[in-house]
Amino acid sequence: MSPSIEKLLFAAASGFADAEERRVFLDHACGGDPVLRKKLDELLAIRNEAEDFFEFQPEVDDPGAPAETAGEEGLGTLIGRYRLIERIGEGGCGVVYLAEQQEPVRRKVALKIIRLGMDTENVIARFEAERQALALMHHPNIAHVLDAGATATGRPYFVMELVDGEKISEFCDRNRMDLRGRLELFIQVCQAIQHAHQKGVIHRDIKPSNVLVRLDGGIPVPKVIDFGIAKATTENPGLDVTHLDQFLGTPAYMSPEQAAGGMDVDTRSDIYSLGALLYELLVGRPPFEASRFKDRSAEDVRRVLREEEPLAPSAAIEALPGDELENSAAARGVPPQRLSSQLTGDLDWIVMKALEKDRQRRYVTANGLAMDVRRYLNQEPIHARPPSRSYRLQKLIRRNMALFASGGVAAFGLLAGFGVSTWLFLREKDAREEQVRLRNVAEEARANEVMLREKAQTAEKVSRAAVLLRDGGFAQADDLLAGLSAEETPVSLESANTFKALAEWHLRSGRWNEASDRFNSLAYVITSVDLSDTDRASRDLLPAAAALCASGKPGQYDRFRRMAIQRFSHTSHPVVAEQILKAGLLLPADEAMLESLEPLAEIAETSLLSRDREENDAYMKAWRTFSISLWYWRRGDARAAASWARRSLASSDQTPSRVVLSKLVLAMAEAGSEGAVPARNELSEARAAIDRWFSEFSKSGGVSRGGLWSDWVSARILLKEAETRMETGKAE
Amino acid sequence: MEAASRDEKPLSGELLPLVYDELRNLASRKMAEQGPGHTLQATALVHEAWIRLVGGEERNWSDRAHFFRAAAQAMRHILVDRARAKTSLKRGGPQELLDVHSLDVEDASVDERVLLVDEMMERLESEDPESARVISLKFFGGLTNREIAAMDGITERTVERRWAYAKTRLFQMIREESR
Repeated sequence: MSPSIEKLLFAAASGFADAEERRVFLDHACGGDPVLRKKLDELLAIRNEAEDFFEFQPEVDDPGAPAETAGEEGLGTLIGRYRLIERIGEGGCGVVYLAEQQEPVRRKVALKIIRLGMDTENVIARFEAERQALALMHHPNIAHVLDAGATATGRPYFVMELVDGEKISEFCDRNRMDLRGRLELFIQVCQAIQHAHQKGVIHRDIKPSNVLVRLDGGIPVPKVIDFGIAKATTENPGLDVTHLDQFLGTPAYMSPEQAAGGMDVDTRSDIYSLGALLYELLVGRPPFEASRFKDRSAEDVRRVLREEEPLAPSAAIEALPGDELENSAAARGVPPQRLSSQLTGDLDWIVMKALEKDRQRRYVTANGLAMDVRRYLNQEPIHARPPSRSYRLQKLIRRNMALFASGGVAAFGLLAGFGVSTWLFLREKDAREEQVRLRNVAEEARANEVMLREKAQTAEKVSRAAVLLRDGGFAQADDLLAGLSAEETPVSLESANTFKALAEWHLRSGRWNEASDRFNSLAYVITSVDLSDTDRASRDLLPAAAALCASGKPGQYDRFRRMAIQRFSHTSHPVVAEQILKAGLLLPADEAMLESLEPLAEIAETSLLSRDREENDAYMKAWRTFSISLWYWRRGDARAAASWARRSLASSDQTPSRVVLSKLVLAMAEAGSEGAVPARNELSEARAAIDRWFSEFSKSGGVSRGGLWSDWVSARILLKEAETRMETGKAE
Repeated sequence: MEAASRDEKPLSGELLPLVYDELRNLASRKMAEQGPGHTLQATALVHEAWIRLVGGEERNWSDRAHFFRAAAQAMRHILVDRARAKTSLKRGGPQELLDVHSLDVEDASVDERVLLVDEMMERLESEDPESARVISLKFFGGLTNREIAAMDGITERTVERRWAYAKTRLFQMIREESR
């Protein structure tokens, strides 16, 4: 009996959920080997306990935690830092629990455990990739996703802000909300989605059960939940038909392009789902009933979403069976006969524009959709238009292409019977002109499409690179992003972190040119992304400045510092001010730059007077003093520069990089007034210190001692300036 | 580092202390940064150590595998040291070995679990090296199935299967000892 047979049988037997089946299997497999059988029985019996034992979650040693971990759905179970309290719902993709977070704060949250059959590692990696974008969202109508992880049995879970609300469609019906009330709620939902889109997050699963409404002081407030979850739990779609059978929930609200499984699902897919949500709020049913998709193949579902036109809302109401119509009307507080007529026209068009199969024809933004609803409420003319005749015709032709191609005259006759005959009488000239116009429109649309798709693909690339980085796949991630120019870099925090990691990776291996390219992209992102003025944002600019200045292409550093100065010149944060001064003044600057930097120098100077200890420990103070000396040096005030440099050197903090930098400024400033001779020793000392650091840096494989590497690179830049001045000074 | 990883021997004498020091420094710095009550994630430590030590340079898989095996061993030392310190503190005095017989396996704290696993490892190693290896890499080294699969040229499913078996077998050993 070799151990591998035992292992194989163990694995196989573990796969049977049913004890009886397992027994039959073992009876058969072990045949006449009672020793093997006994061994397996013993192992299988303790399998679950072994799983629990190895659940390596140090957080569990909370003394109050019960040891019971029999099944993760058992209430009271501890999952990570969360204790399950109560099961509050079940959706297509998992079960939702009310849970209590144990630390750092005790609070109630919603915890959703994704059903089996998902690749936990990938789900979590995908979630992590999006986490920073999610963290940027702050909107009263968005519920935050706080955390993600894996349960002891390896299922992914998500932790969300707890929303004590009711599914929007049920809330509206139960409260008999009228049309206006429903539309007002819907506008808020659009605004939440708009906010997410601006932060680079696509929801991908907007449907009534993901929009919860609660009363806040008597006013209904919608909250959109589950952001980031659909993306994390969807495999790269479109590769495998069987994945579509795992549609998350119902495809009733899913855009045709998302159902088709393309990589380039973008914000307009959410617009479609918003349209489907509005449809349901108005009619009481989604555009395609969930029952229509039951037991249908994935291909069927795709075809319906791609080809079938739903009835316009007013027509859908008219088609409702009698009792349902009564209910619908009662829930909306209007007589049944008025229900359809109040939707005819504007609202029909708004909904149908959002639900266009061709995303080019939908509203471009969620805000655009909200604005049109608002216009309707204000009785202003809306932007959505009824479909033109030629457009309807095109659609008809597209839908009946096969018929046109094969049916010939017979098909024409058939179509004529459907009322298309008018078209046949369009004069040939008109038709040709229309063709030309349509072709132009189509080309324009295609160009636009290509641009948007490229954008989406780029963002996807960055996400993939971020996932690769998590596993240490630097080279692969770098390859993936190598072709992108700085201007193409997606503007997101994820992108910033990815490029930063890659830049630093190149740097550690001494590839300065590649590093400065990545830093250039990083600088582009940081200066474009809408961040508050924290020193975290500006801190990343320092290495970028140093790398670009030292090894960037000509002009790169200048472009960079203009961008950085423009972006941060209005800050009031002394640390940000100091960092921008340092990053922006590595080389002499022109008048305009100096002018924009003046307020920052003032902030830095003023802050040194502050008694706030937190902000003014010796280290911080000394750097700020240095940045001021650099500022005076660039302004041409050698006396002030020298005096501030001396102050920096007198500090109790002796960070080697700053000491060298301060000495360099001092040497240059003194050389101007008292002759070059005494400065020469200083310079050779500085050079020796800098060379020593660089040789250690490369020897140690990129471990920086005695200050950040960027400060040493800056020191080398200033050294070069000082030496050049010394040379020319001698020549004079 | 490079010299060490080119070594053909199972684990070179130079690599292990190097990795061990790096991990220990990293761990103590992290603990200082994050304050008490925080937990260390083996995965994060090991990956950070890898980046710091090799500078993320392109390396072939055998280098990487080599490093991760050393890192898993080093993490084992660190975790065991820490667990030993913590449990002896709780017991009010130093204690060389955990007394398996006086311990209720189900109620064992995480630190005690670390010690129990550590103590069984030697036996498992001689009986079933394959299982010992997967415990070392996953439990102590915090590596993902994917990483182990790539290291060993097997599928993630195989790793998961070995892991499931190894856990059960090792747990059984602990049970036997504690009876």
